[in-house]
Amino acid sequence: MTTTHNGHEAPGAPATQEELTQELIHDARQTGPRMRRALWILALLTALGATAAILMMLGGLDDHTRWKYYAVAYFYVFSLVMGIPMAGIGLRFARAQWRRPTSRAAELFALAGPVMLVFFLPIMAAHPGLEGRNSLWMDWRLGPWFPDLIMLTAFVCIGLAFIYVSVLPDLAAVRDHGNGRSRNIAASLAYGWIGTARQWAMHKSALGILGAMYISAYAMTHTVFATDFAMVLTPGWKDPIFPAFHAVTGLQMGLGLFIVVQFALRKWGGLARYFELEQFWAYGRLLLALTLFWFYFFWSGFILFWYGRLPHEQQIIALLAFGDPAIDNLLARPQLWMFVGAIGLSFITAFLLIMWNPVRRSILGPAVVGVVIIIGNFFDRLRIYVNTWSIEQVGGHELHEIPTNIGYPGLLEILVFIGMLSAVALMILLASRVVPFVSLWETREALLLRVVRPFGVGHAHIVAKPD
Amino acid sequence: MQDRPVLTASQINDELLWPVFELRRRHVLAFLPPFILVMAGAVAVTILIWQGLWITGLQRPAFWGFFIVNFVFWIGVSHAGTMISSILRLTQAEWKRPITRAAEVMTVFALVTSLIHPVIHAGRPWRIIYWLLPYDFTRGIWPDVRSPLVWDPVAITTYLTGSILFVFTALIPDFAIIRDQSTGMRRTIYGALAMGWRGTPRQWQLQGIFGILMSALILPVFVSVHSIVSWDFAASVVPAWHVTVYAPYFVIGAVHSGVSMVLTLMAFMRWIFKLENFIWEDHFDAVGRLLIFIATAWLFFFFLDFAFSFYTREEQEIAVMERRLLEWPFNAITIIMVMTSYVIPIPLWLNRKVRRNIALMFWTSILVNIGMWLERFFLIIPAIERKQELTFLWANYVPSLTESVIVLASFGMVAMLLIIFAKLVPLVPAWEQKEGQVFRSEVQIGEVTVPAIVRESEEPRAW
Repeated sequence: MTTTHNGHEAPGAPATQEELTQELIHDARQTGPRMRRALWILALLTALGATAAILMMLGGLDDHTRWKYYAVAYFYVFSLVMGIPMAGIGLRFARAQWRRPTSRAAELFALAGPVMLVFFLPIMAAHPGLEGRNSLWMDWRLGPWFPDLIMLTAFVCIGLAFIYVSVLPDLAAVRDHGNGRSRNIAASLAYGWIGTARQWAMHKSALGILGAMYISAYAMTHTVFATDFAMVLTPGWKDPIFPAFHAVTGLQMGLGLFIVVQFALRKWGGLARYFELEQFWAYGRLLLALTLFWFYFFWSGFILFWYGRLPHEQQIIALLAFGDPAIDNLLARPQLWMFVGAIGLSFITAFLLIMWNPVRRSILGPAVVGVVIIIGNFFDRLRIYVNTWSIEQVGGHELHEIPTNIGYPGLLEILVFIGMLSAVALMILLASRVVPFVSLWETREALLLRVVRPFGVGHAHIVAKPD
Repeated sequence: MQDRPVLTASQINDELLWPVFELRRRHVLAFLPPFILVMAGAVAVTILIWQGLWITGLQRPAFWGFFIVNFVFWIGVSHAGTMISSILRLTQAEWKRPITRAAEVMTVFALVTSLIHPVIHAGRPWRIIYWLLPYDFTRGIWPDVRSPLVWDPVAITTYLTGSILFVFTALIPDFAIIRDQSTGMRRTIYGALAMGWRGTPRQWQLQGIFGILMSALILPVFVSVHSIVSWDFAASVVPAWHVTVYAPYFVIGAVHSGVSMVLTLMAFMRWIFKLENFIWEDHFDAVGRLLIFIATAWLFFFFLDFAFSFYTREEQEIAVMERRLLEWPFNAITIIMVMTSYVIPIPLWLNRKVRRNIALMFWTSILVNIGMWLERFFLIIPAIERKQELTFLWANYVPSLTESVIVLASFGMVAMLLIIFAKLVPLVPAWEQKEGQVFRSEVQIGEVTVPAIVRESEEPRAW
């Protein structure tokens, strides 16, 4: 143990590269009985979710309003998990050194892609089509099904390619230093990686190109999803900022979840030395910025609708925020409560907490705000997808009736929701049996690039910048 | 990036402060062209006020023309200072050091220049006061505070005040250096401006805290200013203007043009003031990488605005898009805008060699600003020309020579103010350079010595 000037005891640093390898390759990947049990439970819940989705499909695809809670579950989980790899990708582009031990945990969420692709098929089939509706695809017969499926497939493939390239050096490390079945899997996946200068150069380029492609695909997939699965279903709703809002809120809730995951890995995963105060503090700052973006993107759209006083835009405000003004009893307006939950948690509460440096500069503070944001954005997706998927009216320049009887999710929808989350967790935990949650190659590189030296009357970190 | 030349404090003073103490020919030569432009602009404004707005190309319903386009453009450019200084300061980006001051000062001068445009646009500038202040209590005539046209001056003057404070605080240590090297009247003036700065630990601490606080406080102001400017258009119900994406679209466009303008300025500073020891290829590389991200974000919002113009297939919006895409000269403007803002510079900037080629970076940054000026024209003019539902109320706006001269003069004005400023204070902060030298370090990795920097941190790390 080392002790800082303020008396705080920090975990001792692995003195050598070999110790780091030992810790991440051997100790962190051990599958104990608790882990085995968790994997089986997750697998069971995934199977139940998939079965529930199939049963819903068998129940009929003609009436899209039956699928509103499925839509909420799908687009919530999609937004929640698919933005998390951006934390690794974006910070690598920004060359933030502090992100090194956290990149892998973020990038592993790209493995949620296949889950999202499978669970997309029912909601795609339940889409009522574009006839009589406004659309980005004009009168194209295959829209939105074909382009959206292509977009999502491309997004998922890019994510998988990215995570594969990212873990390649670690697969080789597991091949060279690991044991058991995971060693064999890693050996077959490592594809002859021996870490030559040429391989590292190609690795760096590939990460850059795939990272840029992932960011673009993320933005475009959110754009088509937000448009085709929410806006298109609502007569009179033309709102070009909404896709950007959808993407930004996805990032916010993704980062919220990622901080919670880091907290869990630190507390129960034995990785406290890698997920330190520095990471929580830095991610807390990012969370503050994204929380402000939540409001900015919401407000940019809202103020124009509110200010313009155009009847068809007033109806959209009623649909997504305040509820039917004809109903005097505010408690009887479900839209209002969803909106209050969304803005109250995702922005107001989150902002009032994370704006304080002592909250950001702690382990618990950002994690608590992360939970608040995850819940708040659930209300947000609820207000968007339940309301738009409850509309039966087709065509017209204005929404005539604000849906009031939005009902409750049934058992099947709840099982689908739990199944989706379980499937994502299962994929990530399975992958973590082969490669560690902390990127070995990036952390080893960090050991080379950072040294502590005397500076003035104390000591300081010296960070090498080879680029 | 950290592989900087080793300079002593006195070398830094000598190389950065010479424009303050000497008047060289290059300084005068750089001053003359913008000065001539400003004089031409002053003549044009005088004629405009004397003759009235009829000499412009403004006509019903297109009452917003070059002046408003230019106003929006300069507001946009003013965002660079905040973008560079605040964000890079908060993220502790080491490469910010030589460019922060020029960017911050450009913010102030661009804001001042932009503020002149609505005043000129009013035709009778003295009447602009009626928009802002109650002038007739007896008849109960008040400015309409619900109008974005009133929000504008409030937002811009707040931003201007904040920006001036931001610049001034960062200038204090350099004022003190000049004070200490001067005599006579100059010493008195700089002594007053330095406000008793002695460089004590407490003064440095306060200066640092103020810089961080201002960085955090001015960011929301910077976003709100251009958002409010965008609402001048979007809050109306004019087809193709009433678009929810306008606020972030304007902001990101502003950052795109502003950061490109900083790039232009960096090249100019390097050439005119011989700042090779302070502004290196690495800085152009870093700004180039930042611009790739900014430009791509801009393209995303451009795409949203463009795609949703066709979303509802309303006749008036289609008419505006037809004007933008198919009718001369807007079809050419659209092509030039997209080419110069994205298609030409981005593939070039993706190449590291190009990013480190100062001449190429200079010319591509000029291209971006041509594109971004045209983008403002593309967004504002066709929509106002087709704002009426009845086709016989449509009109085509053709800018007059007077308006064109005033637009050119605005560029001259910003350049002239910057050159005058450079005569008074170093455009590269001397104290930041000295701090950078203190934080300079090296790390030995194998047989290679890698440049490094000192990072302030309280907690030792385990990895």
